Amino acid sequence: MTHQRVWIGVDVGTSMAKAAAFDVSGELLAVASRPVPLSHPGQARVEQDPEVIVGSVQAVLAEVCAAVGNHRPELVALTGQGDGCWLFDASGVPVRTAISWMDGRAASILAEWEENGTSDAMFAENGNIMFPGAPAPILAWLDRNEPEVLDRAATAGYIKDLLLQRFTGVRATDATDASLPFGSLTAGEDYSAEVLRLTGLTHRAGLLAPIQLPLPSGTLTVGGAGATTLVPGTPILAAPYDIPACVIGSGMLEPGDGLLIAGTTLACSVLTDEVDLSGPKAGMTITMPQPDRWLRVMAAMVGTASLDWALKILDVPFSSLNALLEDTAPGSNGVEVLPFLAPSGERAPFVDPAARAQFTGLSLTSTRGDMIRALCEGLAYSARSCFEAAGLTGDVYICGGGSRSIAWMQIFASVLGRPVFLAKEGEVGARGAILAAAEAIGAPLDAEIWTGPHRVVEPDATAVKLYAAGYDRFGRHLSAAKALWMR
Amino acid sequence: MAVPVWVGIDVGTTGAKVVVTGLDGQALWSGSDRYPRIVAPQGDVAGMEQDASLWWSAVAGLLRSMPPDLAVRAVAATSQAPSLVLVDAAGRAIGPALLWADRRAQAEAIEIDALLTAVHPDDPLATPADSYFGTAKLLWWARYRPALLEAATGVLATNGYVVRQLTGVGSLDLSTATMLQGHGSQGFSPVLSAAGVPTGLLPPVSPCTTLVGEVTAQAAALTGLPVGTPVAAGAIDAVGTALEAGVLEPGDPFAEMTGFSTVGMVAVPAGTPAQGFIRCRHCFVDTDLVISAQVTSGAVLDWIVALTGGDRTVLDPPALLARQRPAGVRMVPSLAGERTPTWNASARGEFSGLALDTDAVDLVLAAMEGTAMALAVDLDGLAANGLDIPLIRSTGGGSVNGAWLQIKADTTGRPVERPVSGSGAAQGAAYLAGLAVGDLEGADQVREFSAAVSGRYLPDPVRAAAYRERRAAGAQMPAPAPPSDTSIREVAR
Repeated sequence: MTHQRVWIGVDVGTSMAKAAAFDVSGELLAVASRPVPLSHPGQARVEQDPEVIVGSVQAVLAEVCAAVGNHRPELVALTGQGDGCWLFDASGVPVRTAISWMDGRAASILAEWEENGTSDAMFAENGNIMFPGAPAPILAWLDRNEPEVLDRAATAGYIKDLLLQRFTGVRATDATDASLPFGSLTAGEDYSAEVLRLTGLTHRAGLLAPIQLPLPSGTLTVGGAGATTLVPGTPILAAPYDIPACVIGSGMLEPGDGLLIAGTTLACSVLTDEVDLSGPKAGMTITMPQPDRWLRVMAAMVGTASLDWALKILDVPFSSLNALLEDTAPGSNGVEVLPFLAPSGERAPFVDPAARAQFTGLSLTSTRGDMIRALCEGLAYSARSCFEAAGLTGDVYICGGGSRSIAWMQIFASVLGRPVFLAKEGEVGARGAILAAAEAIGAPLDAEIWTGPHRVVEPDATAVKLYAAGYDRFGRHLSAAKALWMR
Repeated sequence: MAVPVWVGIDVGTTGAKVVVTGLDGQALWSGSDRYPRIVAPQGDVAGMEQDASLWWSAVAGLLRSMPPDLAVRAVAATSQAPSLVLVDAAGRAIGPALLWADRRAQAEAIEIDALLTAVHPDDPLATPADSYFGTAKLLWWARYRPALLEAATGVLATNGYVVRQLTGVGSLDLSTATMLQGHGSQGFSPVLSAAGVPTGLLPPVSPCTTLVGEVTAQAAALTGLPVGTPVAAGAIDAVGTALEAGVLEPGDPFAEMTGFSTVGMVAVPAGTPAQGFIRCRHCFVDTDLVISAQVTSGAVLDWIVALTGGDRTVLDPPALLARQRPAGVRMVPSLAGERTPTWNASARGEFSGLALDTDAVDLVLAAMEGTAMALAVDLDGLAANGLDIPLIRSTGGGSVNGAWLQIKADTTGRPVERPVSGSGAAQGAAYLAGLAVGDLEGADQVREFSAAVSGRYLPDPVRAAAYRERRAAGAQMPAPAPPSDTSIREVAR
């Protein structure tokens, strides 16, 4: 029996840890996943237990190795959720439960920064808008409220930094995770001293792990192997975090192209070869590992969570979504939606915690189909406004759970007025992490084969015209509603 | 021995009801039946039609099922208004009835308003320019359904249609007539017929309590009523509700009836202007009713229940009242345009303040608050006309839900009481029969029937203040959502 070569990607999302094994041509051989719990230890507090996550990652690695019968993959590439604050000591032992990117305790610090101009100054420095779950506000909060915890920590990093240190002993982070909030816009440059000064965290600069280009890497130690069943010596790399990993995994290559991750939230990213911060002060600017490439990311709070809410309240099973959308005419018979259903409001392409959702144009003849389609259209308008803010000029790729609804993808294509390319199904983030990691160790894989072919969904000419008018009305509804949101 | 009774009929938008009432004013029997309406005929969302023969078959069926051994003194019918139907010489409907909520004749209403304003500028009693006020539908038939109009020999209101089937006599009661656009104390303005509005198709006008005919042999066979039973001209449903709720003369309380719609009414001296409101003659000829009207209220709750999967427990009062009020989710309940006081035919409903934790109970609560808020705005408008409303009496199907009544009390800042009787307009129609046949001599006797109250809801001062603040903020809102203009629909076509 020929020994099959495999590549493994690990993706630690907010609610799920996964490991996926691929063959040399990018065919998905096996996936293992474990849910990872979130805890809510108080008002607006969202935390995760790092040891549970490390254990879960070990378990999914063991499962996937067993499934493919290979415990010595070519490499293991790590990706996962960005942001939040993961504190550990010099040997990678957590000194505190991790504070999630969804945590809200630092909202008051953020409000101070908004008030005193710190936020604007930070945006001017590296193109990033802060939110309560970004590392800078969390660290500032900890510095005020739990300084002894910071004193005990060696590193304030990200989830994949923690995993890399545990598996290989290497203390490092990658350019994408480092971009926000302390990064510089030049790959290879150290953290911005100005951002550290602005946030009052200069005295904690030592907690930030060194940025390693193109990617942090090491080999699995005997101690690190633990329950993974991987053979010590296996190359382990910390790849770009989930959003840029999906960009790579979807096959998006040219500056001006955009990726929509239609997940719980809608993350709209545009690859660019020059940073222009003269537009709206919103979103994130991620420095990519390759030179002169950045991602402008508008991560809206709205997404499939909004759709799930509507399906639940209207008592419609997800399996009927496509049929329902197809049976309802574009324009939803006059029903129009602002989809800002997240309890924390919206953060892209505008920031307003008071933002709420609305359905207008309702009549006695409005049906569930009208309401659901109107919401899908509203989500697509939101995506269009994010892409416009991020400078989209090229093609649009889509991945994420929402891309399983072709009828919804049709709406995106028509609202965006261009064909959309659906990413090859199956673990797009892990796929992208592996592609980046293989490149970094000098044994690149064929990205075209790994990410193609794409299913293309073409826009509908009549709907394009209708949605151009609808998008204009979306903007007018939004300006009218902003004045009415309760503060 | 046969029990002497009055028989009241109400022909509503969603169904018909018959109430048999003893001479002591107590309901002895009631029955109801539902019939469909055609929303958006031929895809035109402004339209709302009904098959008039269903009115009659429902009423005849209910009359047939009345208990035996009754000595029916007289019959009267009230109805949804003003809904109109074309009929031939035999009283058969020609084409569908155009319901009050049908808005297709909006352009004609504006045109008629211009004709009338040219002749009578600044008429304080002129109706708003809205197709709701019936007359514009005559012109619409002439323009868009000329073949139907050609085949017709008359036009009847809903109650008039039922009276026609019972008696063979065509009639138009004064309460309905006084609602029609361009109808004054001298009948229709001649400028209308000169301009091609076929007002001549309407039958002669009679006060509501006039006995216009007797049950024919043919109707007796279909209904079981004795041949020769006297039948009154009848009235619009608001008159029936007013009779049942004790809104009889100036000084009586304001009453609102919530079913599909919410109709509020207060009695004023005949000829009192009330800008922005509906006015019609009462069955007492020196009294007018000033009427507030929201097109959709109970209909909004039914729509939400249907949309969220049909579970009616979302209407349970304890669950609703356990939520925070004023609620974070808000609703504009104008699901079929608005009447008083804005007369915006193209108004549409909206939900706002929605978040992922919003559930169906929140939507129902928002609808109840939104409809109560619309009632409060109407009361503000009546106050602006010098009509102060210290108390609300709630009747109709909507008054069964105690949470809704509490919300109305808190939102309007007025006590709300529910009369014991509560059989709605049909019971008032029975009193109308009693008045017509002379068994009842006047308002004082009728008022005694409605004196008992089964529930009283007092406004919570803290909530009332919060709702008042919200209403004031609403009045200062920047022009909110852009209206659903036609451009986007045109693009869609």
